[in-house]
Amino acid sequence: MALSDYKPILLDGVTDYADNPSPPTEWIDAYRQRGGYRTLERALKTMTPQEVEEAVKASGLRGRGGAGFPTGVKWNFLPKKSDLPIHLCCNADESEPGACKDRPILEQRPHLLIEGIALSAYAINCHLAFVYIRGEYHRAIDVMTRAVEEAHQAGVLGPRMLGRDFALDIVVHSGAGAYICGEESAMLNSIEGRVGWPRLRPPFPAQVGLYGCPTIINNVETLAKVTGIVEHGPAWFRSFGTEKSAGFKIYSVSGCVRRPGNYEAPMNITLRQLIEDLAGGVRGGRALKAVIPGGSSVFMLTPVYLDALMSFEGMEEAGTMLGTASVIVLDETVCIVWAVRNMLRFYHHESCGQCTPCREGTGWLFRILDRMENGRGCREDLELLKAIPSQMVGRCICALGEAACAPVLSGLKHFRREFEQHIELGRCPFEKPYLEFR
Amino acid sequence: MGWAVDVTTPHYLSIERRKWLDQLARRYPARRSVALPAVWAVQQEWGYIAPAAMEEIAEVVGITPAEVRELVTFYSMFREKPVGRSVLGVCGTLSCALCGGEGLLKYLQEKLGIKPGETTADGLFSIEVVMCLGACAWAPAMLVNDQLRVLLTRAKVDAILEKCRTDGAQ
Repeated sequence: MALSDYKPILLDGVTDYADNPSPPTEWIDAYRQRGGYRTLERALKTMTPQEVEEAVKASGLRGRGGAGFPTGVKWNFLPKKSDLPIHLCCNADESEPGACKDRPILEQRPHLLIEGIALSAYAINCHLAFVYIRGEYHRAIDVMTRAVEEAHQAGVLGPRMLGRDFALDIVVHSGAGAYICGEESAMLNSIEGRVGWPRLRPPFPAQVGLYGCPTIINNVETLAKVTGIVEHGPAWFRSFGTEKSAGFKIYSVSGCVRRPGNYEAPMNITLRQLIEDLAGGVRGGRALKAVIPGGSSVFMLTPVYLDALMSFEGMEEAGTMLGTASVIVLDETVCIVWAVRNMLRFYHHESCGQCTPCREGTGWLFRILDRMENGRGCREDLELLKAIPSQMVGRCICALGEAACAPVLSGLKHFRREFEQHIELGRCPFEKPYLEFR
Repeated sequence: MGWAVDVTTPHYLSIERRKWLDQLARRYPARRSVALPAVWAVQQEWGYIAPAAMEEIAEVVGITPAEVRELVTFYSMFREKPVGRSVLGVCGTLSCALCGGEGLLKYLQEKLGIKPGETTADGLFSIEVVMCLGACAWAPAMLVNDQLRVLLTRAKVDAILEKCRTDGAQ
């Protein structure tokens, strides 16, 4: 399929915030008018939970939250026999720098998500699901809360889902400003009313999760796709994308491009098509310097990799990760030391403080980069920037500490000369026109 | 005794709020889960969480005041001090910074004469730096209380500040 022939499925009817900062929401009547909840109705009537699970497994759907774990396989990890209730948590804590892909679903298509949650809950025999939304997403929290009420009133949710013998309640839970709560086990603690400290694994949440019960955590975009998969079948989903990355994806493109935005495309799109064809290319006709392809937690790439596929395997072959598929574009005027310093300030702020290597390491890295950018770096700093990550990677409870090393290590790998220049000149050699606010 | 606070009398959490929390608690398997909603409820009404409010929340939720304080200090959106009527939460992360985000922060500081974490003397404005607002494709962005404002320019910021000022006069 040619890229231009692809019609958005998740973002169908969604308004871009550039056109309208308070875009309309598709409430239940509008959603039903275009066939909403018919798939759920049909599934409850004609499919067993196992058949729904099989469809998702056969579709090849992989998690859209960053790790890309096969959704059907994850569901399969639930204990086959357990007296404990099973919980489903929808991860709507979208906080990865660069990512803004779940926002339009939460704010504008809440019922598409609710139908996906209902189908998934049916598949895994869950009767209580949670949507954990980051605290800064005020509008998303309001919309989802109201949409859940609508679904209750319409009999979609409640003791008898669409009149069938299946109960489901969905609780919208607001976070309060902690990136770490996007980490699945920290999210569970946050829902339980605790600080968002990640848990040691094993046991994995599928065995011991929320309130000690078997729990599945899936991203907003993942769950929103379940409806289409059950409606049209796994083969339909597999007709998009690649063998290993089936289906389509919302790509957030931001930074130095002409048309930043969310673009939904099949997963066989290349980085070049995404940046040049969809996002209008580098702004101001400047040359491309680097791309962070999957949110700030993945290795940055140089333009050499522009023809790589924006699929899980395509990014892996390029030496990085697809992550949240949030593409941050850096043009030739961007100072890499400045950019890496910015990202490390984020991780330093967001480290939860539980593990020493991450808590201290992110702080050290930030302070070194900060003094380097301000002209006070020394030769030894270059060694430290490599030595500190070696003490962090693989030595923490969760992936945050490792993620924080990605900007540093990839920046050094591709742009070491820039770091050296900051030290030799005793100042930042870039003019940084993008700092200006007009 | 130093504990002069009567936590059984509703002050920070009204009777209505307590009823709402009780109802909400029934949807969760454990009452402790309403800890964050309870802190949010106090902050929405009072603007910040005073030490006495922590004791009251603890009483209502069924945890210790220290555990409430742990939540308030861990989650960066919770505040222990009063703030201005309009809180400007400027995104400080990379995508915004590539589109004038640092300049936006500087512009606000110059216009209002305060730094991040401070409040204007008239109590109208506070500035905060927020770690990524999830508005990366519409940069630069900031939150004005709970309203997201995107694709900001000097002209837009001027209008926003003006509106914040006049809204208060009414």
